[in-house]
Amino acid sequence: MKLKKKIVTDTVQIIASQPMTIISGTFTNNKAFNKGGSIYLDFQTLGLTTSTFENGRAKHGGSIYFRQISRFYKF
Amino acid sequence: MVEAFISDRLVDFINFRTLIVLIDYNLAYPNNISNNTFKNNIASLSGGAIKVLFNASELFQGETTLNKFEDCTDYKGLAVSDGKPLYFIFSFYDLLATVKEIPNVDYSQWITNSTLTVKKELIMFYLLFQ
Repeated sequence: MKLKKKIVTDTVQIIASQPMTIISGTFTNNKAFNKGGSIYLDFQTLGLTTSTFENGRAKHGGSIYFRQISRFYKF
Repeated sequence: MVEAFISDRLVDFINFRTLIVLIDYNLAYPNNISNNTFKNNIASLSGGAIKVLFNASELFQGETTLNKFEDCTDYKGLAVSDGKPLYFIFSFYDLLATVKEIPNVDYSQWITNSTLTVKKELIMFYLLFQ
């Protein structure tokens, strides 16, 4: 999943189940009731460059919520 | 006593920076987060701008530099937090550089927790690959 120069306003949340790359994204005034005001990432990789997150609100992760674990902990 | 003993042995036998690289190699989900701005993001419970469920070190491995955090906070005053005591084993230098840009952050707590965590990780790594 790739987003380039995407402007997202109001309440929008991206739930990623595949590796995601965001370049020059602007996320403004996004809110989530619980996790990840703008982005909720579920066990995937995020590439995030030259993006702006402003006025995000959530209980956990005002802008981004990463739900990731590492192989290291599976030993 | 056992933990302290093993930890001391690790410091004696293994180069610190090398070991951190080896641990990072085993992480499953590398992220590349660079040159981003997080401004006025607020979480009522945890992770003003960013919350990582388990281990924040995974968030910052790879090329994770030059991110700015302005007025981002949770109820503890943290802009970035994870599900356990903060893990920043990737680089203490990056940690210090980042924290300086985050207002209302308890420097000493981040650094102390990171240090303790690294020791725990090193012990696990040492025992597993002996």
